[in-house]
Amino acid sequence: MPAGNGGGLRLAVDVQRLLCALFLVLALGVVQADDGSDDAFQWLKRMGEAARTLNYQGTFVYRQGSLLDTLRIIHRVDAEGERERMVSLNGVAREVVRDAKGVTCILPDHHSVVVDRSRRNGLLPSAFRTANAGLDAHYRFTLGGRERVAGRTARIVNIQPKDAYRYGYRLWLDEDTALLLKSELLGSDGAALEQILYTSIDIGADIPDDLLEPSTLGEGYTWHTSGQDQSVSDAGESEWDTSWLPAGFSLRHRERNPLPNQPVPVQHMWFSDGLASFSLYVERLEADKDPFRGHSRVGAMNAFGTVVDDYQITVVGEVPQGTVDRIGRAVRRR
Amino acid sequence: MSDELREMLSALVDGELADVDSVHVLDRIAREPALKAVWERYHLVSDVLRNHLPAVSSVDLVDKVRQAVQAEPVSIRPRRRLPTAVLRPVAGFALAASVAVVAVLGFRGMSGPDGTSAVVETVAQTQAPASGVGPTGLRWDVDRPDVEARLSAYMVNHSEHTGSTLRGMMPYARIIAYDAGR
Repeated sequence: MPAGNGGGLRLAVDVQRLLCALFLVLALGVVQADDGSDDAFQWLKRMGEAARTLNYQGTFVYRQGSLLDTLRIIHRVDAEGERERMVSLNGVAREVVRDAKGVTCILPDHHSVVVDRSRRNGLLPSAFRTANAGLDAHYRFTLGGRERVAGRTARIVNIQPKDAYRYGYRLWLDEDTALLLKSELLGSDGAALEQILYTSIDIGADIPDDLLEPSTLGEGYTWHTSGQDQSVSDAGESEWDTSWLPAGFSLRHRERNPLPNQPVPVQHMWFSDGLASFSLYVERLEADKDPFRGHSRVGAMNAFGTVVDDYQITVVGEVPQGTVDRIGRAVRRR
Repeated sequence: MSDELREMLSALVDGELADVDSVHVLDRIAREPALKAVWERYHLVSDVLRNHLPAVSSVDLVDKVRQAVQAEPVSIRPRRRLPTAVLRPVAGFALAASVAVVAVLGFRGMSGPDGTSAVVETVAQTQAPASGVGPTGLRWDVDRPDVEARLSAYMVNHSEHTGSTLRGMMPYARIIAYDAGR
């Protein structure tokens, strides 16, 4: 019990010490948070920038179940912007080429070329360009340890979903450049559903033109071209909607795509939480055609089909089965 | 094949192989068709043990549907920029293009009992692809070819919207690899 001047001073010092300690604890707490999700997020921002701004070429393995494909990727940035080419090294050289004008898929074994000029890739800005973008409400970002990948040291970033409606990811980023060297898409049980693993990569060197040219001209092939002018962006109200969405998901894009031999177009709605996404397709059922009802999946992608009022409803996305199911069942006509 | 390699394959299927070894084995699998066939068979066994197969066994279907197709050689032209004058675009829309892609992709690669792959090729876009569902390979696990075609078209269309750098070109990796059960 403080009594007199001496005691009062001691109490003041004690209180001061207590306040100091409290302040330190709080300060440390803030610093701890920075080392956690903010730091991981910074790594992901750097990853996005590296992927867009660096020259690189490499070979990676794409794994999903027993499927294994080895692909080569070449990426270059020049005065015209980004150019990217990805080609399969197994069997026939199917490839995808992307530049400012759009995406071209070349399928030599089918004598087909598919060109998409709609430049939809520019529609959704990178999830990590803006700080956090509200993603930490639905995902936990943590920085992990270090591992060797493709002969380089990589830093692990974990992205853990906060609910069962979306997938998690584990990324291995090059410690030097933050380029993605390995990534796993994780199912609800934590097991990897899909994996990309670079076996070799060359970063920063000049990339000659001919590495980015497709290996065939596609002469004599059948060309299928689509573009912005051909799918109608549906700015108006759609008569279809879903009465349930997982937290954080919102409608980002809607369009109507006419099919060549059908009078009624397919309505397409694209939803995202900034990281994961799914699509809702609504099309009128053709007479005497058996509808698709129930589930299907391919690797990390799930689908759910149902029928509402003579319309085929299909939900497709890189989200768990339970998510597409629940959304599909909540689709309503206004 | 050496016992050691078999063990590594088995461990790889169960996800128990270290990355260092995985890369080496994966490289070999990608380059050696015989090895790939063994790999696929191990996955089949693993799936059966874990009850992952769809209700209808597709092994019988594999036996029933086998057609050899003479693949036309791809003509390699000297590389130069695609001149716009040469393009003969077939008018189509995003979804239609996707459907066309899927129609020509058709159904691929079912391993026969001796481990060789049979390829079934669709000739015309409008022809319904031959039925065949494999437990391995990247394809939708439905029994109906028309449903699979539609779902694959949706998958291509949906992937085109994913601009997140997390996936970047990766959805296209899935599409390029889609048929790799060949």
